[in-house]
This record gives sequence, C-alpha cells and structure tokens, in this order.
Amino acid sequence: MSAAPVLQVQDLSVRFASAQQEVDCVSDFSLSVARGECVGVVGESGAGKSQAFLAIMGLLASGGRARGSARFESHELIGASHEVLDGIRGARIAMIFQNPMTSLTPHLRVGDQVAELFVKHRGLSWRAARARALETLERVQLPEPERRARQYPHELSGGMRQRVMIATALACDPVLVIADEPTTALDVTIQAQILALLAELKSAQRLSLVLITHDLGVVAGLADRVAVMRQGRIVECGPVGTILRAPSHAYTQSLLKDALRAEGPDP
Amino acid sequence: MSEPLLLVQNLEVRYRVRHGAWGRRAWLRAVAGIDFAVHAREALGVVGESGCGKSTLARAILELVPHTAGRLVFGGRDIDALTRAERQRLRADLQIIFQNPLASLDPRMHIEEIIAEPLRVHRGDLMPRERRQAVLDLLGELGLAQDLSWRYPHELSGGQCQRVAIARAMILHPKLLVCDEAVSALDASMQAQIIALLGAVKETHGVALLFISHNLQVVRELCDRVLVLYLGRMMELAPAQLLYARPLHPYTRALFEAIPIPDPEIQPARLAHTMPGEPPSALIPPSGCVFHTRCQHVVALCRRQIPAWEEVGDGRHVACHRWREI
Repeated sequence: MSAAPVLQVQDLSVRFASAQQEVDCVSDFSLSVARGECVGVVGESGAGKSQAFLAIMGLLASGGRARGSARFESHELIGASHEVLDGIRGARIAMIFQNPMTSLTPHLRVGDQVAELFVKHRGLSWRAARARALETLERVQLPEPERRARQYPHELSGGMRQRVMIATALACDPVLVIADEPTTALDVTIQAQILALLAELKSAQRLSLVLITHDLGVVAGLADRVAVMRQGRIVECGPVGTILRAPSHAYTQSLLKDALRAEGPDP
Repeated sequence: MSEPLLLVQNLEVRYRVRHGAWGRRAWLRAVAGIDFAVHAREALGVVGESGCGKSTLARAILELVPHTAGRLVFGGRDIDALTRAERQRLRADLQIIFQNPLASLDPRMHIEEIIAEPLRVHRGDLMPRERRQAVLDLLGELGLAQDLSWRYPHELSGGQCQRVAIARAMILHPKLLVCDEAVSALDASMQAQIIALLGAVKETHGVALLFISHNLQVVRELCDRVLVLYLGRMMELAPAQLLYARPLHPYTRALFEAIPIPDPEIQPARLAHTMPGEPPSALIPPSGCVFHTRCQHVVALCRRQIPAWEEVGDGRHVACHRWREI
C-alpha cells in the first residue's frame, strides 16, 4: 500500500467555541487511509472520533471550527466551499451513521432515497435511477428488495434500515466510506451480518473504509490498521495485529481488557 | 432448595394491536409459556435480542402490564389473589431500574427528593430527618458525593444518574430488583463500574436480581443463572458457568458466535459464518419451534412440533428437539 493515500489528514484540530468557553475536542489528528484499506478509529464516547470525521466532511455543528488539512484525491476538504463538498459527499466519500432511523428520511420510500443519489450525482432519470437503486439494494443483500424498496423506513427492521443506509453510501461507487458506529444500535446477530457485509464489500470493490467504533471486536474483523483516540488525540496507531495483540498504550490495554470480557465460550 | 422468592408459571402477555393496511385487530403474544423461579439473593440473567419479550417480562412481573395467562407467585403468595393494600405493600419489595437513567428520573426533582420519594410513599412513619439520613447513607454507599443531593438529574453524568436510579430502587430494601437493560446506555468502563456496584449491592443488601440485557458478557459477570429468550419463548435456562462453557441450544450458540472478538486472526473467519436472517414477526410466529427459520440444524420435526421444555440435568433446561445430537 505504498501508493498515494486516498485520504491524508494532517494536524487536524476541532474547536467548539461559545460565548462562555472554548473546547478543543480534536487536537493534532493525523491519519492516512490507503486505497482498499480499512482503518479503525477506536475510543470511548467523547474521545473525538466522530467530530474528527464530521470536520473532514464539513459537517460540524455551528460553533465548531476545524483547522489543519484533510486532502482527499486532489481536493483540500478543510475550508472547502459547499459546492466542492457537495460534489464529493455522497459521491466520492460516503458516510454511514449509527442510527439508520434518524439518518433516513421518514417520509420517503427507501428505494427512492437510494435512487435520489443517482438522480443528483449521476444525472439519471428517476426511472433509470430506481432501477439502479434496486440493484444497489440487492448488492447489500436486502431481503425482498422489490417490495422493501417501496416501503418507508419505519416499516423496516433496524438491520434492514442499516442495509439501506449502506446502499445509499455505496450507490455512487464512492472511493471512501466513513462508517460511524455502523452496528452499535443493532442486535449482536444482526451486527455480525452487517460487519460481514462490509467485509465482503471492502474486499470485492477495493473500498477504503474508516470504521469508527468503541468496540475493538468490531475492528478486529475488518480493519487493517487501528488508531486509538482519547481526549481528542490519537494515542496509538498501527497494524491491527500489533494494536490488539501487543498494545503499548495503557489506555488501549484497558479498552482491550473491556473487550476481552466480551468473549463467549471457548470454541 | 428453599421456596423461591418469585415463581413465574406459564406466563403469557398478549397485546391487542392493529396491523396491516386496514388496521385489522390482532393479538401479539409478546411472551408465552414462561416458567422460571428466582431464589432469594440470586441473580438471574435474561438475555435475547430486541423484540424477544425481555422488557415485557420485566413489566409483567412488576404488574406494569397485565399478564393474560399464567401465575406470578411472590414470597409464596399469588399476586392475582392479593388485595389492593397488599399489592401496594408488595411494590416495596419489588423494584426496577430502567435503561435510560435520565429519562427515568423526574427532571424537576432534585436527587434527594427522587431517592426519598419511595420512603414518602411507603414509610410514612419516618420523620423528614430520618428520611434525609437514609438518603445520605445510601448515597455514600453507592459512591455518590453527598453534595449531589441538591443537584438535578441533568447536572449528572449517565453513570451518576444510574447510581441515583439504583439508590431510589434500593432505599426500601426490596427483595427483588429488576434491572431492565440497566447498563446498556453506558460506556464500557462505566458499565463495568455499575455492574460491580450492582454486585456489591446484591451482596450487602441480600437482594435478588432479575437482570435483563441483550449483552451476554454483561450478564456473565453478574448472574448465577441465565435464561435465553427468543420471540417471547424460553430457549434455554442454565447456571451461568455451564451456559458459557457449553451452550446447548443452537440459538444460544449463535448468540455467542456473533459476539465480535478482539483478535484479528480469528474474527474475520467468525464473520464469514454469521447466522442469516432476522427474527420473524411475533404477530405471525413460525410453527413448531419458533427458532426453526434461522436454525442451521432444522429438520421436519422442528417445523411441526413445539419442542418441550426439557430438564437435562445440572439445573439446565433446554427447548430443542435436537440438543443431544448437535
């Protein structure tokens, strides 16, 4: 993986300022993601994992300011205009969020939410876009895709909604997918299915994947490299085998201890 | 063994729901055929995926939802046969903590009022000073600073709120504490703290726990026995050590296999063998064994006949036609 990285983040910092106080929630964040690589970003809630990537996507809440650099292909994302970002987001970089119920539009049929991307980014007619949407829903193994495509988000189970969410992410064949706690809201058997799907898509399409999670077990199945975050900083970063087998930072060790409690019976 | 603290016999809870395009009325059996006992000072875990009836079971035991069949016997007395006054007294012995600590605490009451409220209801004989002392003692025991007593829930962290919920539940020294996903909303490190705290509370107060969770590892740390539910039916009940060493029911095994393990040499292979499908609708449960639609060991018998709740020795029960062979 010596080729130029797909995403190169350098010295990113995110600061939220209100009249009363300023909070640095990400500091000195540097990370690169290569083509076809999955980088796991791990840490507890409040570690700044999500804010770092929301900043990169230009999605910070008001009052938030990002500094530093995030180069994606030939574009600088930090400080980019809405026009530039709109051309990239959803098409070249896609995002999968934790809660598919709140990130899907409740009053649109799920098939149309996928089709919308083909209309917007590929200029297809709605008719052609719906056909492509159906193919995409098949690709993410949504059961009974033709019937489901005509349903609304509330009619689907959590696992199916997350498949739809992944379909919207994959619709325009992005280079990079940022998955923010994609399985946290799901039951454990459904979580395994969604992780298996992401693993399959990653290897079949040489997708670059950023996997944001608090669960080292989730990272172990998918990631090539892992960055561990604490209090807005990366405290440790390296190949998944090194980080999970021989973590050098005390914080990683404690996370690992929490995760090892998780193991089931010996096979 | 001595008489159980709580006996649940053939319990069923049905909800009247509307479904389909014309809002046809139908019965949804949230739980059915539930049969187990909780002994004094014991921690019984109840696990299963969303929609398996865990919370309905908790609510039915506290009579927050009425059961439609079966019996609940608490301390040797049938709950249905109690008078109003007796039920009121029973409520002091049966307490619950919920998943979302912030939502289950009244935002307009300060912490001391919240914890003291059960005393005001059930212990009218106490003087305000005594109530206050009881609250302060419990705050100390649960690792909360006494100066928190004048704060409001929104000023506290999630972990502190959950400690307050535990304090409110424990102030009357109940015999059974039902924990409905009590640590699910918390971070891993905070989970560990609250679990340790519940373990300590169980020891010092001699309270029995009915610990409901979707998370098998959380249950493992706290519980003596574990009941596995699927689609409102019991799949397996076993002492925790035995269950975690060797699960018998294929559903229990599938639950274990789905847990992600932080080992990059094993985990990718585990992902390649995930159990397909989703739990079916409880409105139209599958015939025979409710798990047959997702079970990899399914045979014709499983589709036809509901497996018996079989006692298999060592205090284990399992509902599977094929547990011996698989």
